[in-house]
Amino acid sequence: MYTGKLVLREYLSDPVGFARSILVFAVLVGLCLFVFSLPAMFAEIRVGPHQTAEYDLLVTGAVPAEGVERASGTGADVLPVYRWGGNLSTNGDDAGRFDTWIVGDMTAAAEMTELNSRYLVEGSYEEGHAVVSKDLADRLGVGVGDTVTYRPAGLDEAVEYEVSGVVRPASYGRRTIVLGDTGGLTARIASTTREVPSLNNASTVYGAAYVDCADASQCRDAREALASDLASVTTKEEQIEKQRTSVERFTGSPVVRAAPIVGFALYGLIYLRRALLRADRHETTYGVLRSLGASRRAPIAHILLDNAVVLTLTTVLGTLLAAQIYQRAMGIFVPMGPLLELSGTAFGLNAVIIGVVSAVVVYRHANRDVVEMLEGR
Amino acid sequence: MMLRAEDCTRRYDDQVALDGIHFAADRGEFVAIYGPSGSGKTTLLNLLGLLDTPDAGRIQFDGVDVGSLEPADRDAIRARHVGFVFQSFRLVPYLSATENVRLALSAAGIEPSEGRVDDTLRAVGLAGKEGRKPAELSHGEKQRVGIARALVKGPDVVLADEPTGNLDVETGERVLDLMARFNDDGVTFVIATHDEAVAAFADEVLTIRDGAFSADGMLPPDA
Repeated sequence: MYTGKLVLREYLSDPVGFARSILVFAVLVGLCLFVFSLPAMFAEIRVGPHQTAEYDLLVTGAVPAEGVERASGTGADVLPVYRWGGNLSTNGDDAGRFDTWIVGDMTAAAEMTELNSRYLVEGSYEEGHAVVSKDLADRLGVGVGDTVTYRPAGLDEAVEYEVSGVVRPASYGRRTIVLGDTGGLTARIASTTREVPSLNNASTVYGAAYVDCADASQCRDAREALASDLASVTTKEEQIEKQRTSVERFTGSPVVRAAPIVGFALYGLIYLRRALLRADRHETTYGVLRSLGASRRAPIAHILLDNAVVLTLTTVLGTLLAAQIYQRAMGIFVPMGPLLELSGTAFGLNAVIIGVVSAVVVYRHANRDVVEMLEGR
Repeated sequence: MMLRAEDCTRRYDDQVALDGIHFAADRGEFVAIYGPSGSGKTTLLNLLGLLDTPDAGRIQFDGVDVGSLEPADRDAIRARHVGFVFQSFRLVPYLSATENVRLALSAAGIEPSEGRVDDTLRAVGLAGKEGRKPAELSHGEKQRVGIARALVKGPDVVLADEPTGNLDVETGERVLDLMARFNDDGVTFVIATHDEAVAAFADEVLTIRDGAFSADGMLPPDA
């Protein structure tokens, strides 16, 4: 019991040093864990059921009665999601044509885009309001509380929306749409619209592109351009397959296989050094404890307790850090399930390393007698 | 005799630190082991305090041959009956004076009674400085904490290794006065020192050189 207090008092006597030490090891654990779990996490999240949608304008709740089509394609009724092409303006300034996502309810919006956890940087999602991308907000000079006018293609009346939120554009760029299995959109062009430049200025509704042609020649050119683009467009299935192949190649590479082993070995060595230095520093204290009548178990309990504290803290912080690295580096939010799994992995690997190191330190300590400890020999 | 060493020899590699030494101290005695550095004083204290075991000979505590005891039983005797005072204080730096003293009780598995630690600190003249850490105390005060730590559990004997070695003369005398006061209360003190003036404080002085007591200080085997 008193060894616990002793450990705690020591930490409290130098909280900055203790925090720094924990942080260093947490970073090491986090990095090792990131590399170690990369293949599994990559495969599960990247190709899994989660989806990412990016957009310039999102309107929730207000679904116009006409002028748009219900989502169709894979499963048709999966989500009440609508995509709309039209012109957006504010204060009379035309901001150009934008693809608009309209979803029937908040849950669907959040589910489709994971906006709540990932992209919203200002304001909130509100019924009947618009959420605009940061890029668009900057270009239009609008923010939360301002009004934008949207004139959908095929409708005479413009619709006004008050901006309730601003979202951070992700790395794919403007107009990019990547959808997964439950996105509720067409499987035909489940790709980035960047790959279909001929559609960028067209009215598009769920894979159907409407190009206004002034004459037959223009229409022919448009068709040819589209045909040329579509030949290079990646379908959703192809995209997933491509990802899977890429993941397999990546995870199967010798570097990726060796990296976690090297990483954890390095971590183990650094931790061993810390543990030995620490045990040496406490040698006199252990000697004093023994001279006061403490049994051999007291210093060992002190060593084990310290390591248990480090194990727990570095596991928790390292796991969170690894999740952050995923999120920042790969644009993937790590949900609770994989996070817990990751935490379990971290705890297991960390426990093995710290356990081995503790055993080494305890063994080394057990071979020293009290006089040696007191004299620091 | 409460504490006795019989024909004890201790070697470190090829070097003989103690060479068949005899020693005895009874309750309430104040004995000084006087000798130059490397003469074997600390080695003898370590044997008497059951921190170390002799290569030959035996140590008796209250008539019990401690060499025949299990390490845990020796720990128990040390915990209950022996206190140590070190030249370099050996205080735990991140603990306050009170906590350093209480540590002696915790390590010995003794439940401190109400006010026992404070009373001991007060007795060594550290009232008002209980919360200070070693770095905030003078050398003399640190040694007082060391003495309080040795005395708080009410030991039969206190073994002090150069207790004034890191103190100036005046402070050293105060520390010795303090020890003498507790000695008057019945606690046995055995101090190792190379300082003649310090040794003069003791009721009995044993001179040690090259691991053996000189003729005038050696006790007969049957003492």
